[in-house]
Amino acid sequence: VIKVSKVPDLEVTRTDEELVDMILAGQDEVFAELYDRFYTRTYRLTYGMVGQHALAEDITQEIFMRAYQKLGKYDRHSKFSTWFYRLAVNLCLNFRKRERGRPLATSDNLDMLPLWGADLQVEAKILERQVQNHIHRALLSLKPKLRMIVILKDVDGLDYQEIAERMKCSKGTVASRLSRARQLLARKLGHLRGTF
Amino acid sequence: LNMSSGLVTKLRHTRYRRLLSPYIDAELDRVARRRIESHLGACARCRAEYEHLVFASKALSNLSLPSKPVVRRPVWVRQLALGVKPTRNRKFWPLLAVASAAVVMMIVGVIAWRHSRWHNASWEVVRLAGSPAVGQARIDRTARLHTGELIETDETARAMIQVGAIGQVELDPNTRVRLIKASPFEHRLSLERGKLHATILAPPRLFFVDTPSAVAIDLGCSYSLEVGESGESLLQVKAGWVSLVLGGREAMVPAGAMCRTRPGVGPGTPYLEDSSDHFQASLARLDFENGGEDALSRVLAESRFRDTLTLWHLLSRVDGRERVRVYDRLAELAPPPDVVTREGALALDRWMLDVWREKLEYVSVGVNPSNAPAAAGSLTPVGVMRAARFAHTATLLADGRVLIAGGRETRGGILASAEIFDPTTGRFTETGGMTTRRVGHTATLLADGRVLVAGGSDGDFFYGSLASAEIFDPTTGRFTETARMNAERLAHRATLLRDGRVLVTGGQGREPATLDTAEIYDPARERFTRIASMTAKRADHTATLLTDGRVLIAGGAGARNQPVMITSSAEVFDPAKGSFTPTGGMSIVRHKHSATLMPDGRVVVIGGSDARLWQGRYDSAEIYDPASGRFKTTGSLSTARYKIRDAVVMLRDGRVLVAGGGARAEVYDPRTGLFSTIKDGLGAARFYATATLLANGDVLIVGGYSGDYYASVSGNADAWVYHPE
Repeated sequence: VIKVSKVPDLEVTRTDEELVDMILAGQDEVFAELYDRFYTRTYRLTYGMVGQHALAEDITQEIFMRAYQKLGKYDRHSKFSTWFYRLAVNLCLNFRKRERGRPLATSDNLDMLPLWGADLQVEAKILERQVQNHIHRALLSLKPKLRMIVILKDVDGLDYQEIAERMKCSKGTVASRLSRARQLLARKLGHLRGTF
Repeated sequence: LNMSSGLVTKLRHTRYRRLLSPYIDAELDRVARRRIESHLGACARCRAEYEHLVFASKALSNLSLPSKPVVRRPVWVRQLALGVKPTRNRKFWPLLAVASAAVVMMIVGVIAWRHSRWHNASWEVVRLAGSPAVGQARIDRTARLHTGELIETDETARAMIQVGAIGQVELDPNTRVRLIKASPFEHRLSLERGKLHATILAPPRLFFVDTPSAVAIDLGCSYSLEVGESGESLLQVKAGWVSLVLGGREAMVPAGAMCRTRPGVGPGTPYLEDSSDHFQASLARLDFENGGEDALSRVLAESRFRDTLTLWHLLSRVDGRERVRVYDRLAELAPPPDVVTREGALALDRWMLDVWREKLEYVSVGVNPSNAPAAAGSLTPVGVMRAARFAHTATLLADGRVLIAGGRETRGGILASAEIFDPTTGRFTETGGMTTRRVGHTATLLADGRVLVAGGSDGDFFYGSLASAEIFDPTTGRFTETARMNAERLAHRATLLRDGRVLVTGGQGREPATLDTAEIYDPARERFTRIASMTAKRADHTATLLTDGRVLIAGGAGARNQPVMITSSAEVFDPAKGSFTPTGGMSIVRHKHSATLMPDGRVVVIGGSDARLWQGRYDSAEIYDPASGRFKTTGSLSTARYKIRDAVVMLRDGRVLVAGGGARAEVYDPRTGLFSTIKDGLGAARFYATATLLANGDVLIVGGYSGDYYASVSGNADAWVYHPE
């Protein structure tokens, strides 16, 4: 007999840390709730880092699997979300290390759309998409650590302290890497000046 | 003193600049902020730097990463939610410390843990036709295929398996497949009988198919695999690479190649689909029947430059004197790189063989232009057009001049203007303009020397598709309106039939879906008449007049809005019957490709792309044989190309020039099945350029767009002449 234990609604009101306690106490089914809570942001992070849906999905799965396996090591010195994202950031960067040497595939969206006909009416939309593609392409061309910092700061909107915690470095390092990344991006995106 | 004060200033600037990012991100306290602000007020250089950084930050915050992807819990998380607990790693830790024996236990434990986690994993199965069955249960629409379960199709059923997140497998009728493993790191099926078609978009070595006589390992590709009654199998690769392995025997099979396997023997030697029948038969005798001298002589004699990868495999499969013969023939066709010695290769030195293979992979499959021999001929710039254009038309007139009409100048500007190229003077002169602006239209030289221009888009309304048509008269140099088509068409095709009438097919009409309708223009009556429809909706397809007067229609887009639907199907129009009948399909879906009739009556289809457009450009080509009604793959382009519908022409000597969609032109030689690149470049990619065969055998190449950023796309006014000698 399979026990169907739907995660009750009141879980929503529990903190991440309470959920972790429940899992460690043996209620493994609660992990699904953590999964749902963290999936979107984790996927955004991995997609931002690799630019391909399938690959991002794979890395996301690996992150959750590792988190589940290592849950016992969560020491409660920081918020669970900090611990989790640190793990995610780490895995993303390690993944890039493993992949180094292989040519980086271009992003899913880096499309040159048809230039006449169907697109006449949706030109503005296409233009917007092309701009997006260029930004993401420029981002993908940065070194992983710079890329990660940019995603955490400019896309996710974290502050320096939060970034430093997730990337296990000092705030000064965050500032200097961010400067470096932005300089490179500004150069690569020079042709988009005046667009924003 | 000057130097040191310069240094101090520089240091000060460096210090300020380091604070610019924190300043932008409001990470500074008030004092620091004030100091930065007053410095920025005074220092133009730091202000420029500041604006630079702000720009980058703004650009990035404009990047909208997918904010709400659908949360789909994977199998193991769903199992957790259902209360099925996999054992967690940490529970093994205490055991670890005990003794070295514990290591063994841990390995067993991990395997068991992984097994327990994955053994219940499943993939979605979709019914395509008939009633396939998972285990004993018939599939109505969809079902789950769990690890260890069988899916079976009878003689009328077809089914599709969704391979995790990495691809799809289609099952033909009479096929039996078992799911062996479904983890994110290993996707494994066992094909026990029948035929499957796999399309996998994932890093190499994630997808495996076991057969009774070999394991097919995906290296990022699309392929078909068929297993016969006695366990033998046939692999046919359509894109990418597949490795076939059994025991120590491996075959690396590239796109366009096939490979047989036999139980007890393993994979045979891979061969290209277009190699001769004798070659294939002799190879099979060598592989599976101790073929001997005779078969080997045959293989060596019949082998072409393109078959060198086959010979490379043979090297390690024969020995003694036979190996020497294979080596000599291989070295003759494709001299080994310097680091490969004769002794080393004959002793099967792994490293040397790999180095050699890498070179062969490229030459025989024709991927790498740097290794391929350069094509003869030269490209010479010949002045500039009066207007920059792309997606225009260029038509050779009866007097040897070329009419160039319409097209787009820039992102917005569609042209009504036309001009004429005179090969004797090498100059472009303006001629009367069209009655309306057109891009993506067609221009067809009629038997009486006039030119029929039809359809296209003027950029107004939704798609801007036009039904109007006009006639250019070279004697007056003017366009006059003629009858309207029965439908608005853009990205359609117009083909001059043998009887002087013009067949117009498909295109993008007013609706989001494209058209399957066709009509015929009769120049004598100056009228378009609707005829029977095609079997599929098509735009950006090709229509090629065959030597017997019929017309081959291939590929195209069924819909260009989401979801984009591109087809691989093909059909033939018979002017005698006035109707379309389906014929064998292409190996992959294509649109925005080209199709060119060759002197032997076959048609070469080149490049194009799938629904991903730019990203899905193809470097592959295939050949349609009207006698068999089938497509076969042939050599590959050195560059993936699309938007080349009017940029491919047959040269006088029967070779085919590909002049658009890449910065360098290539020539296809039907005798060798190879593409080779022309040494002179075209400067830029030139999408939607045109290539027109001139009366003297040269080719005029004009226009096209380049620029990889949509807003910066603009047409090109450059013109070149290709001289084949």
